[in-house]
Amino acid sequence: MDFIVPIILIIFSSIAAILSLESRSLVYGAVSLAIFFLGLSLFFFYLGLTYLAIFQVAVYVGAIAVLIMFTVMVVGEGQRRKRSVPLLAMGLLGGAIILASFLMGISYFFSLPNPSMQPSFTLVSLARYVMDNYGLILFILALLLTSAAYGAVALARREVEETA
Amino acid sequence: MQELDKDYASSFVKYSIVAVIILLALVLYLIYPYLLALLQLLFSNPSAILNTTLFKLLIFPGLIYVSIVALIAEWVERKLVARIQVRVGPFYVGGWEGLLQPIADLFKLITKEIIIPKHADKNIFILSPVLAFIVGALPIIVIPYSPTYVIWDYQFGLLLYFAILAFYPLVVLLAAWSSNNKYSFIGGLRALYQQASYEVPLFLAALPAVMLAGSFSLTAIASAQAKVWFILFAPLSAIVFFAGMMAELERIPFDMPEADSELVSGWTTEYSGIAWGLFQFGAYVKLLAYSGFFVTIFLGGWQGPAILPPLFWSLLKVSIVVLILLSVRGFFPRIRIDQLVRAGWGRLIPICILNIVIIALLQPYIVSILR
Amino acid sequence: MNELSVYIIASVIFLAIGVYGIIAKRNAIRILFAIEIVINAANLNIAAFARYGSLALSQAQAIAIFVIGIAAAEAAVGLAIIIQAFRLRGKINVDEMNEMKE
Repeated sequence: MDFIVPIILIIFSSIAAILSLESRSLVYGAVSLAIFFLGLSLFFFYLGLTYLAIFQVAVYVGAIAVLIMFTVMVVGEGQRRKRSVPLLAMGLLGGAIILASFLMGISYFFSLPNPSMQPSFTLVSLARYVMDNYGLILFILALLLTSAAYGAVALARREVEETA
Repeated sequence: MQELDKDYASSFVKYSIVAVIILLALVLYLIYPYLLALLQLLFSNPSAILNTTLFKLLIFPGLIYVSIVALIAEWVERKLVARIQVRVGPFYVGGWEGLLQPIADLFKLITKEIIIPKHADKNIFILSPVLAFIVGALPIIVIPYSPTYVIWDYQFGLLLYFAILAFYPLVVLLAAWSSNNKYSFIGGLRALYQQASYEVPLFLAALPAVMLAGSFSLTAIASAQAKVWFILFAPLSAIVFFAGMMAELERIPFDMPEADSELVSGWTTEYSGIAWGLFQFGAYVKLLAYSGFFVTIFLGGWQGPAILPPLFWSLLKVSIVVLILLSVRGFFPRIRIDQLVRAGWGRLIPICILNIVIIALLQPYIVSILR
Repeated sequence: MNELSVYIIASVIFLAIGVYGIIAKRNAIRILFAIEIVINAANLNIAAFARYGSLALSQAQAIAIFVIGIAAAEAAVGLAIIIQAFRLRGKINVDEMNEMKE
């Protein structure tokens, strides 16, 4: 079996993803979402994209998972409601349709030839590439992130009541 | 409330001795081939054992060295701060000036009962001290003490260091929430604000070193300081990194999450026994990791006059940085949480960017000096 | 089975899990978890084509970094909305939040 490592990673990450959706407590769901991000990061390490793997850990686990966990702890657990079977059935049907439709079209990829070895990758080449081709987009992304942070803070602010 | 009787204590000791013997036997059985190879290596060429990864991981820049230094740092801190505050510090335990005090504390913490609050989340409560220790201790695998004494000379060592340290607010949040205590949760939120606000100045302050050395690998950064140390080119970044280091370690003056007079013990209030011990131990191990990082980026790592071996210079520099960090505790009052957050986002980031711009403008000249 | 197809199947599995989560969950925070799972599935697809397809390593990492950045912005804004909705209405159940007036 050549594909033992990807298959183990797939099983690990899907268990973490399913747990994050189905676990009884929201905090366990947030923790297992962080484990899912770690599993994805291991995928990236195994594929050879080391910078992306570290970036994923630093941004997703270090910032987004913390943000999600903070929100979950502040908002608190929702009320327990009865499981709604039609909703569950619709969800499973939607997931199954997507899975089946992609798997049907996947035989195309069997016929692709194996690629040649990539040239050596250094961070300097990545930085040069991003700056040459995506420089303006990087700038716009920075503005977008700043405005998103500002907007999030403005949205979540408590309204200060004027006292007479 | 049941009474602790002598039978309980003696049977506990007997069972634990038997369990430790069985565990040791199992471990020996599992690692027997590797141990045999290691012993053959030792007897054929004794100094080659110093270069094996297992030695580096377990003993020298690894687990045992870090544990011993953490214990020594605890003693040094208590004595140093005591002398600054015109008192004596630990005095009774051990032969001279309370030297065995940390070991006595360790023994006390191991034998204390771990009290789990009734409605606390048991799994996360037990998991978070272990996770805090692992996340605090993991960055030591990329820190170089000399060109050969680095456990893993990773190409992106600096990035890996920051990615691991970005984990820590998550651990703090889990520990604070699982205590089921409103006030420790407030302490945990304060710790989260503090550590999240000072992560960005830390990242930015480490950037001039990367720009001057041209690589993210910590050994390359330390090797590039052969002629001049980077602290002379980036003094503002060094100051910001030092302040950020103190904030991430929650040392005084950034002591707000653990304000002893307000929140008892902050986000670790409900932890007792070895769980709390792991948090403190993890804090000292993190102190050592951060000091090693500071020395590698700004103070030249192992560079020094060739009279003494490079290992001596790096250990000397790390010790000096640790001593400065420990002694600051006695000098400053505590910074308020809003002053702290405002300083982190509003004042330290412009200083870092100023330094980055200066380095970016002067980079060709500096690189020609360094070559 | 090609090496490329293993990773594409992985990406599709995560996409299916995410779509199930978006449709079948009533708590808004769980829907946000599912959205993050879908975004990560797309990143995995890009990474797979970088290694086994004809996408350059630099290009793939650049695309994935931008995707991660935008996902962070969207998660921040979404969570801010959830916090404010919880403050105003007391519960986060997307089935019951179907009117602008309470």
